[in-house]
Order: sequence, then C-alpha cells, then structure tokens
Amino acid sequence: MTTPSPQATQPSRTEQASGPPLLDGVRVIELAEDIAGPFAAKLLADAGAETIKIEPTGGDRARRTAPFAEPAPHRETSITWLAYNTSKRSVVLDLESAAGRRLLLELISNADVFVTDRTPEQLGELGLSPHELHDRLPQLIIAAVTPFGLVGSASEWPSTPLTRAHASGSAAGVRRNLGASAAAPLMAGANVHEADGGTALALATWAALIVRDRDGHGQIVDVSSVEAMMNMDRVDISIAHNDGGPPPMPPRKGGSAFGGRLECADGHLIAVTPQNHQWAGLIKAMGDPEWAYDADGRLIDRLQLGDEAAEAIEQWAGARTRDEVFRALQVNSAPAGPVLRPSEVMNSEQMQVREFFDVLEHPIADPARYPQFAARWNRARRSNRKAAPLLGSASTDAMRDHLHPWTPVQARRAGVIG
Amino acid sequence: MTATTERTNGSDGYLPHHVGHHSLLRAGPRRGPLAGTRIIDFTWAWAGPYGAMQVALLGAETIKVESATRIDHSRQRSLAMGSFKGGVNQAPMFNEVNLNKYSIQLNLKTEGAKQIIRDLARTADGAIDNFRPGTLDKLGLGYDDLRQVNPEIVMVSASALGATGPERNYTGYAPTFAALSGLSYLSGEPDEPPVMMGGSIDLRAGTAAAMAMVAGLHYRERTGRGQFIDASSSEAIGMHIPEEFLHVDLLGRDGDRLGNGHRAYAPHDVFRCASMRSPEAYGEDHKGAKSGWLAIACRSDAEWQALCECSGLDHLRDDPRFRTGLKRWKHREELKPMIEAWTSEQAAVETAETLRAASVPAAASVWGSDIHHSENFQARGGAVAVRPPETHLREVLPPPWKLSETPAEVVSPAPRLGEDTEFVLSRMLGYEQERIDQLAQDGALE
Repeated sequence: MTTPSPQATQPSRTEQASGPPLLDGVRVIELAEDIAGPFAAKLLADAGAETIKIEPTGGDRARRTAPFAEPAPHRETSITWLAYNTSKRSVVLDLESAAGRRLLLELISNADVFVTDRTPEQLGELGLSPHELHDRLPQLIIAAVTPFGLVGSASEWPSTPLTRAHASGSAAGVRRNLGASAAAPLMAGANVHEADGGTALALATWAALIVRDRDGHGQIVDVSSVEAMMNMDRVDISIAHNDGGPPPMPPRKGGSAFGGRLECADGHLIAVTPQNHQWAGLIKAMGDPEWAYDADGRLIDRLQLGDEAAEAIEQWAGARTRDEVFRALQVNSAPAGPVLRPSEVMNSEQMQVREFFDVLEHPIADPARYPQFAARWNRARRSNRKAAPLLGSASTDAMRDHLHPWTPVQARRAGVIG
Repeated sequence: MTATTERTNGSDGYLPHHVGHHSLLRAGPRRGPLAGTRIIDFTWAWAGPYGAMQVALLGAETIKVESATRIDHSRQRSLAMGSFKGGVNQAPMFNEVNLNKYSIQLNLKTEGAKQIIRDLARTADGAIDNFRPGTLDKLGLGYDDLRQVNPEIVMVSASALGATGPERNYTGYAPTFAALSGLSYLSGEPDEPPVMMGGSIDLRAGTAAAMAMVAGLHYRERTGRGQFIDASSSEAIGMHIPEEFLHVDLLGRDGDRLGNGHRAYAPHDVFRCASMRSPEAYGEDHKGAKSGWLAIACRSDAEWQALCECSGLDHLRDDPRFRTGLKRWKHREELKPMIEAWTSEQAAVETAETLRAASVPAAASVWGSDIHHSENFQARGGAVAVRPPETHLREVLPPPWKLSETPAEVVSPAPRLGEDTEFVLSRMLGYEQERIDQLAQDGALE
C-alpha cells in the first residue's frame, strides 16, 4: 500500500500550477466568423496559443450580431462577438486583393494551426484549397469546421444555426426529452448547437498537435458542424435507427420512476434518480412518507407506484424553494439541480469558489465575467486571457512580428488597417 | 455504404474486416493521433464513457475498468429508456458510448485488483474517472497513488460540479448539469417552462473531459510532465454558452427562451409537412419517419423573396405586413400558418432541396434512420457497422472528425463485461496463468 501524500486532498488548486500555459508557443491563424470556427480558435487562444484572427475590412459578421452591450449597434460590443473571440489579436486584410491573399498565406506559413470555416469553394478562391495547402505546408494543421464538411454533396448548401440544428437531429433530440406532449422538434437555447462544432474541432486539432509535435507532420482536420451536433445525440439516434426506436419516454412528472422537472415555490428544479439508492434518498429527503413503503416497511418498487406518488412529490417540492429541495435531495445522495438563470449561475458560491468566471477588461465595453474552460490543471498555469480585440488592432504588430520586413505601401495594398 | 468492423466470439477476439488481425491489439491497429497511448477508463454512465470513447476513437488503447459488484448502470437502465430488459452485454446505450474499448472486470475493493491497477498505471499514459470526487482516493487509487507508480500520468477526474467548492460532493446527471449551467433555463418555447435536457448534455460534458485529457497528453508530450485535471460537467455546459453570461453583465439581465425563433429574423421556425419524403422515396425497407418537419430561416429580403417565389406564396411577397425584415418579425405569428398551409402539403426532404436550390436556408428536421439515409451523410462515408457480442449488427455514427493523416476510426464494438480481463492481464501485463487463477479465486476479478 502506498501512503497518500498530503496533496491528496487538495491537488487541484490552480494557484499551485506553475508550468507554462497549455499551448504556450503555439501559433494559430484564424479565418472564421460567427460561432463554430471562432469558438474552436478561442479555446486554443484561451489555453495560451498566440492567435491571430484575420478579418475582412468590415470585420467578422458576429460584430454585427445583436444584442450589443450599448444601446446602439457598435462593431466592438456585440455580445456574440465578445463571447467567442477572447485572447485573440485582430488583423484586417482585404482578401479581394492579391496582396492581401499573399500576406494571409505568409501568416499561415509561419503558424502551427490554420483554423477556418470557409467552404471548399471559398478556400479555392483564396488560393487555400486544403489539399494544395497541405502539400505546400506539410507541417501545418489545417483545421476546418464547415456546416456540412469539406467533402460530400452539401459543402456549399446555404444554412443557418436553425437549419443545421434540425438537419443534425439535435432539435429532434431536444423534443424527445419533452415527452409525448411535444409536437415540433426544438433547438436548445443559446448557441449550444453551434458551439458543438467548435469543441469538436478544437479537440481534434489538439490531438493533431500531438502528432505534429512528435513527428512534424501536419494534416487536414475536417469537421462538419452538423456531424458534430449529430454525435451529441448519437445514443438515441442509434437506438432509433438500429432498434426500431426507443420506447416512449416515461412521463416527465416529478414523481416518475426516473425523475423529472419539479415546480418549486420559486422556480423549477430537475431531480433524477435512476438508481435505487437515489430513489431511496429522495424518499428519505421527503421525510419517509408512508406511501413509499409496504406493510413490512420495505420501499415499494417505484415502477409499481402510480400518479399519487408523483403528485405527492410535486406537492412536497411545490411547498419549498429550489434551494431547499436541492440541498435536501443532495444530502441524501439524490441527484438534483435547480434550473438556474445564467445570472444565478454566476452568483453561485460553487462557481465563485472555483473561479469559473474571470473579469476581463475591454477598451469600449464594460468589464464583464467570462467563463473559463471547464477544468483546472494542477501543473499548467492559466494563461493571461484578454477580451476580444478591437477590429484590426494588431494589424501592424502582427505584420512586424510574423512577417519579413514590409513596407507601408505593401500593407496598404493588402488592405491592412493599423 | 458502410465499413464493416465485426467482432467474433472466437478465442482470437476481434477480427476487423478492413484492418486485418494484429497479434497484440485485438481490436486491430489504431491509426488515430493518439495511437500508442494507453488510457485507464474508470468511467460509468454516459458522460465519462463518451469522454473516454473519444480518446479511444482518436486511437488510444482504452481499458475500461468494470465490476459486476458495481455495474455500470448504463448496461441496465437509462433516464430516457427506463429499465433495459436485455442482458448487460446488450444494452444499446452502453454499446454506443463504449466503442473501441477493452473491458477488464475488477473488484477494486480487493488488494489484488488494486495491484492490477497500479501495474496498469505503470504502463499507462492517462486515466479518467467520473466518480464523486475522492472516491478513487478512498480506494487508494487516486491521482496521488497512481503518480507514485507513474509520475508522468495524466489524470482527468470529471465530476458533476468539480472537485473543489461547497458542492463538490453533489452528484448529477445530464439534466442537472444543464439546469445548473443556465442552459435549461434558456431552452424551450418563450411562453413555456424551461426544458429538461437529456443525453446530448452528457456527451458535451464528455467532449470537454476528452479535450482536457488530450490537452494533458499534449502537455506531457511537450514538457514531460503529467498532471491532475479536475473537470466539472456543469461548467462544461456553461463553457458552451459564454454569450449568456456576458448578456447578464453587459445588458443587466438574463437572456430569453427563443424556441426555434430568432431575435431578428422571420420566418425562422419549423413547419409541419405532409410527410418526411415524397411517397415514391419510400422503399420497402425504409425505416425513417413518415411525418415531416421543415426548418426555414430567412435572414434577408432576398431570401424571403426567393422563398415566396419557389413556394407559391407569391401573394405574400407584396403583402405590406411582410415587406421588410422588421415587419415580418413583428407579424411572425400571422405568417406561420400561411407558410404552414403550403408546407402541410409538401414532403420535407424534397422541399428543403427546392428551397436550398433557390438559396433559402432550409432543412428537413431529421432523426434516426433519416439521418443515415441522407445523401451527404452517405457521401462522407456513412455509418460504421459493428456487431457487439450477444446482440445484432448495428450501424453507428462515425467519429465527428475526419483527420487526413491519422484517421479516427471505429475499430471495435463495445466490449462484453470483463471480456478482456484475461487478455489485459496476460498479454498487456504479462501475468502468468497461475497468478490470474489465484486472483480469480481471491475475488479480485468480479
């Protein structure tokens, strides 16, 4: 037997981490807009990769996406823009011009990773067809996230987050959880489906970096956003396809055998008790009501209990706040969670103690709390994250740091905004 | 078009058709970027196993540690399906999130099993678990124990709310991760209660855990140092919705539930159709849905006009209520039944094609077999056929990434409970048969 060291109880405080940030020294060039591609590059940038975002003269489309931090639209204060572009530098290039395309290629040539969301046709127009680029720069990781993939019959289809969520099965997956009463398939909230394409690309790119660091070989990483979304529902999609469809969902009443949504005095709460000991915990939290036990004092098989049990659980929860029910269930090992508003998540003690959010300053928008990556490393220290860059704010610096000496004339031809 | 990877039940184990047999790797050679990496997988349920499965799809040799004394309950039941009536090796939910893995059956309460883990850890690159924080430490198998035998090991410990903080001992499943992250609150129709989310939430949490593992392995490759990574499944969902937190701090309030709607665009919704496909598209063996829904999004006047033109809704184009984007958005409730009067006589798949040809973003809302039947899915390689032992041939989705030089692949179905115990002990760790027999006799392999 080994003796646990003193660190066993507190191995995860980030303050102890003193190694370089995860992606220290990795260079990323991003040519992407909206959410999926920028999110992938943001995950790399927040981990310490030096990330240059190439923007057209008008900027990433996300800069024009409402809502804005200020009452009037402003290209620096779109919430979507700010959220998905932390820790990057912005370089503006006129990619309509040959000089601009040449500068882009030169920037890419000096990078480890090229993140893009451009379709094969658009990449071809830029002289960046993935296979040609791979032949030319075999050490480069070409990380592409496009709606339907670089190859296939749909690579140029028009699509939006709505149509992608439905084309992937994700919306049907959300409907499935609503139970039999739901009619139409439904997107999940925020932009979570689009973010799926970003996480898939970042994960595969990180894995490709291992190969690249080991033997110097780059490669093309082709992620279809729709397939990334599809994979999130792969279990139920598989059951529907291979097993003739799953049985109908159990009723989503609070007292149903496996849990559901409860209405508490101040909002909703989710309780889920698939294991017997968790169900026993729920019953205990309720004060051991008689209906849960048989004449011999044993817990009745919950599948045998009728609607009355569900109603009793709903009544019990309805007379209490979310927090009271949450704590009562959790101390009895019954999994539960209040349906928190984002503002409540930010103010929860758990998230504050774990420093899940850090405040980033921005030259125009007010300081705000930005979520971290969802893990703490005990060796790699957190990188110094920054708020999203002002349009073109790094154009001059990036040219100086990454390219051979250039002249103002060349830069003007390339559409660089300093 | 499917690639076939079959697992036979003979003593040779896996015999994947397309990759041939290899003397040591029973699941065939792995070509992914993590080939040559060994991971100990202590996870159970959905999120953890999917996290470890992604690492396995990327090529890592992934050994799932299981026990009949504390069985992975996804072999027996799920939130979505209730109790599964088949055997522990037949549960589709288990078989879908444990592809490419080996299974070793160990009772971790026995000293013999603990020693096996230490021996495995000596040869492993990483370990992943999703127990309540501290569970493995109590067994003497936490990070501080494993690093005694392998200082370079990378360990990801994923839990409901993380290993620190006042709620570190709380437990959860996908629906509670979504509730605690703010996503449930934001999901649903505007005038209805928030939605209880399901399995996709687990797979998102698993994706974050897999990314943490890959990041740790990459870091080790560069610095030679292992580390402990404390991952929170609730934070993993919060990480996916950063704009909603900025909404609070910069606009002073929470965002809203929008359903299928949009803050500015209309039409932007799903519309009921007469069918999923036109009747002639249904062959005898077609397993897809009969009813259909069509998603349509118009982001500009041009897309709206194109929709009107190719839908026979020409009369709406000049209707003053719908002339501009703002007007369409204001009158979206009036517009919906007008569009639905048209779609309700159409087939979703073919109508989506017509609309896309006119540059209008549109898609049939698909599920199950209709995903498998889609032309682009087929054109990108289609499903992979696997035959989990003790059940029927299954067509499963390929990995969500296509890597040109080191492809991520499905190389084997999910293992039977303890299927690879002997293999791992004798072939990977070099234990003599006598020792294995003794371990079995001592109850270590239960």
